[in-house]
Amino acid sequence: MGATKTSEKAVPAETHAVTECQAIVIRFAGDSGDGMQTVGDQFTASSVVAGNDISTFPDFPAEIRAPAGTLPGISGFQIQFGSTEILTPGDAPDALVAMNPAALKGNIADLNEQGLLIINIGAFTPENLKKAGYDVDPLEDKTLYTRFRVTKVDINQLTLDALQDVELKSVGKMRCRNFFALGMTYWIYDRAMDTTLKWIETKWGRLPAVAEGAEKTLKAGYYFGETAEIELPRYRVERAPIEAGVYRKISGNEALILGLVAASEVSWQNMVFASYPITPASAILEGLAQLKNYGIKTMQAEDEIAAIGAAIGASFAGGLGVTATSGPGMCLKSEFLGLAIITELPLVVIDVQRGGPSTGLPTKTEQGDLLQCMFGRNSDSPVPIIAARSPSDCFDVAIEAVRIALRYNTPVVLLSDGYIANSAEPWRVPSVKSLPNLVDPPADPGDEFMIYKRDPDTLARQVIHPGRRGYEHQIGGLEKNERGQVSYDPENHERMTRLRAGKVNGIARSYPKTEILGDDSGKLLFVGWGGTYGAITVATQRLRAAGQSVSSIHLRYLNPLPLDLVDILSRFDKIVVPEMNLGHLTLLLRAKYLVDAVQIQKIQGRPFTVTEIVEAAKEML
Amino acid sequence: MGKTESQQDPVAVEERKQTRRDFVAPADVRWCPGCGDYAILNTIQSLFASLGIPREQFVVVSGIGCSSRFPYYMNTYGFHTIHGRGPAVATGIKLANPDLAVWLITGDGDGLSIGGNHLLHLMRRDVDVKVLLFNNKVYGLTKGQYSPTSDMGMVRKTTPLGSIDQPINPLCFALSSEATFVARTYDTNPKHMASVFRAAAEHHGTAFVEIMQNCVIYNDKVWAPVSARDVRDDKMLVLEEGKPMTFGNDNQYGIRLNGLNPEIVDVGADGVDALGLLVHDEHDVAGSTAYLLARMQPPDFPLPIGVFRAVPRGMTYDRAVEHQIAESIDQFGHRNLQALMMGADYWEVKEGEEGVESFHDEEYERYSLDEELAIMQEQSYEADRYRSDPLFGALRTRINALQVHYGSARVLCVEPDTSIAKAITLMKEHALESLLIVDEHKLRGIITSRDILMKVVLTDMDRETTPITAIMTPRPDVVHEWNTVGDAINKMAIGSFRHLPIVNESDDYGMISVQELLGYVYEQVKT
Repeated sequence: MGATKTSEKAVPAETHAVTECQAIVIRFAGDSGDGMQTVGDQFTASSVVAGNDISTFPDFPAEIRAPAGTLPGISGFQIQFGSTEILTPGDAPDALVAMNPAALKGNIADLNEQGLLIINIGAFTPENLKKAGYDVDPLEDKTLYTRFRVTKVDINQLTLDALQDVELKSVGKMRCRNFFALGMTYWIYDRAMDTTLKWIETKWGRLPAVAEGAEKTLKAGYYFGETAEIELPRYRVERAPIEAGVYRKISGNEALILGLVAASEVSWQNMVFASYPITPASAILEGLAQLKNYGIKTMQAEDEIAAIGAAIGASFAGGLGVTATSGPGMCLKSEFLGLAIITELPLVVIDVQRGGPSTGLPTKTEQGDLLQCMFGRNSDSPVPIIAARSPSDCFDVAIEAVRIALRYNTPVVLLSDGYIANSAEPWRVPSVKSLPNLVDPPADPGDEFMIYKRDPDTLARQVIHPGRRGYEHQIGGLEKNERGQVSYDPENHERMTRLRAGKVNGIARSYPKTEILGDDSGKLLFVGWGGTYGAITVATQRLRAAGQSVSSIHLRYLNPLPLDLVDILSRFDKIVVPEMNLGHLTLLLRAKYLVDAVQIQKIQGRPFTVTEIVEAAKEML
Repeated sequence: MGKTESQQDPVAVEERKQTRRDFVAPADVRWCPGCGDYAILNTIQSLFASLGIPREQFVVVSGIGCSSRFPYYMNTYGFHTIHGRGPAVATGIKLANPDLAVWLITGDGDGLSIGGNHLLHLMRRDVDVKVLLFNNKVYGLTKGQYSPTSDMGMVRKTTPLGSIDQPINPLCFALSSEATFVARTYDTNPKHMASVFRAAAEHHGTAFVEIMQNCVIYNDKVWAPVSARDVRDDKMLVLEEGKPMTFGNDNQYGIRLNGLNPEIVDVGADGVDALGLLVHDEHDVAGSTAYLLARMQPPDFPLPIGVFRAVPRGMTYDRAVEHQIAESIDQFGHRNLQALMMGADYWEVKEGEEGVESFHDEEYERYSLDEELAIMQEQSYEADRYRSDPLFGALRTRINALQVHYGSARVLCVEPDTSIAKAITLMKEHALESLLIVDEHKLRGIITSRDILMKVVLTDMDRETTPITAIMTPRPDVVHEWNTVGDAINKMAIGSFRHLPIVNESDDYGMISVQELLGYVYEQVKT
């Protein structure tokens, strides 16, 4: 491996002492045009090759290009890498790379005391300071140097120096400066440059000047580390014990795409994916549209309503309709969701949640749509809801959503969120052969076909698709009797309402056992769902390591809730629900189980930190 | 395609005579007595019976409103959806199965008010759906409020001082939405309706038909000033392809252009030809005359009826989606899920070893057997060196040289719901060792006599009711007709199969056995 080789050769141990660390959190921050996401991606790639476990969190502005140098224009990328299992992108960064004054101003509050602060002083011009809203140069504040380990580098100038002989205009040269920062961090954290050098070659091979610029700047940054007169610290993070297998880096939206393709394969369904672009779900439609050779039919509909409508039409005609959206789109889809419920057609609706209400915080994360999905329709209209807990979990959850939709002939809501959608983690790629077989034998109506004749086990109705002779029938939004005739009969309506609810409730019987992290009983139980998984899990581990009687469960199935939940809840003194809303799951648990569940709240568009959960729990213990 | 037992013979369907009665649903029709919808329903039922399309291929879709009860009265597949959203559902149906004949029933409220946006996009996409818009210029189901086609000044409960909304012209809306077929007819003339509906049915693409329909309760006789028997000759202009535009009970009036505007002229003794009247051309691509006709209305002009525009675009939306998929498969090859899941950048962690190896495979999604074939062809000069070797030659021969008979008696394809008992009977009857399970040209699995022996014999499995899917081997390996004899032998050796399904370009399946392959190789080597 390059990593160890380079460090042995380039670093005389006596001048650069290397500190061993278990896990490190770095944040890169700069203008949205500064290439911070590229730097983050590359640091991630090099870290997985170095054998670390990782978790990342990109944080970009809603505006595509907010005015350069201003606070709203800051783009950030945080990564935690470690020699143990890494489940979150980390709370507070141990190191911050600030490419300009705005990046410093917007991020300095998060940096750990005595954390490494790398500042690009080349960008600290009076003009930039003004744009960032600094009246006085923050570099003149003496406390900065006592609170943090500050390294001031004129990255702008050093980049230009390194590229003296390269055929690029100075604007082009300046755009390479992110690679200088990347090179420095590679040296500090003992990463090899190979992966990035290879990537530069692939990405810009056809533009030799750009490729040369990027390569030279990266190397300049790296060698600056060892030759700099200012002494830079060095850290090393050992390999994490990782199960053997083939891995890739995957974000939540990517995993949903692959999960849907895999589900269509293992269920023999022709998938029709109709969607309307909306942040942060658009990438799913974009990704699936690339996969036409997988037989996936995609449609960019005229609006959110048409998207779910087309998906329902596809399911009626014998395909499997899928649509994806975010909160505002969910609002628009609710009437059609009701139609899918009463006509009992398979359908998967993906909701990648973001901050709300209304347009809210399009690029920030929240868990605010649970109650909307649960109840946001007229009348009793139950719909199964499942939630992904991490980027790679999206793959399994997509397959599970398709399983439930097909087996029970029901719409299914799959909840992801902006954090899961955009963060990335390593994913052990399963073998196609290990995927579950979702093929159910085609409906056999026997002598007498009735639309609402139900499977006694699942209560699913018989679905027969147009084109099959002898079973012509009509479905629709009006209440029907078992034979499929429009019916206003009072008893029939109550019976059908109960059957629809009973069918959805019965899905719980197909769940696996709920896994408990920690002891089966004790003082405090965290109950989590969705993207808080990493933070809650690490918080539980920390509290347990400190001797506290704390366990946690993380619910994939939110409606119906698992059957074993009532028993688990009864074995703990205190039920605590950390969720990023004003109390959605908390309300459901209290209403359903009459337990005194309390909530840890955070509604800031950013995920929980481990510390926030640990501190809140300590006060309750 | 191998003979599929439960599938009907297509010839039989065409010969099966369908009548109007076949399309009459058992449900009681619940429109008001005297409603114009009855005549439309009868006309459609007769038309469907005469189109040569089997009943099960029709899907009637609707939104909400009086007209939208239509699907319940048609003995076809039907979907009564939600208000205004029928076009979206119809689009999804065509996406999933473009072979279905989809008819969308809507009204002036459903199609032009709440669902205007969807109708617009259905038409500009040119989804192959036939749209019948029942225009009675009023809301019927909600009891008489004014609609987007109601005349200004209409006094109703929600417009006590008269409507101040400019009405929309359905045909102008359809034309500016780039509909490829636009027509108008009226409910009291079944013959005219039938001819327009038939033209719509035969059009490839979205066909938009406005039907002037009478609401006997809330807007009775709204169309009478133009369509009543005693006035219609003077108030309507019947458009006929290739004919000059004349109207009046004696065809005494004509329409011609004066600059960019139409005018009415008297057809005198000199006859039609002398006047330079407009001649109807529904295939006119430019479309400005169609728009001009659509804007003509009383009191200044007669109201035109008939086909305004019929300009098919070539490939409808639903077919274009399929076409892109086919093209994409041609370009990138069939699905390779494992490669897709691994992506371009992946790394491998090995058991008990220190190293992590990373890979970058730009071509990951382009990997396919077709690619392999191309490489093989490139290297064919190498093969030339060995051509003189009969064994090598035999192994490099394409399988189709063995004359595999697709769909011949030696292979039987059955549907997934075939019972085990039925499968055994078929295998016995045809002396077969295996059956292919095929569903809509997709190979789902294979069953062999070994499966019967190992999984059925001496078990208490109910052979009559259990489908063969329960015992089949799903997603079996297949060879393509362009694969070589060597490829097939190799696959058989690796998987220890004695039979291998073989598929040609049209997705027809055949079967090849180890005996045949070895027999062929022996023949070649011997000579």
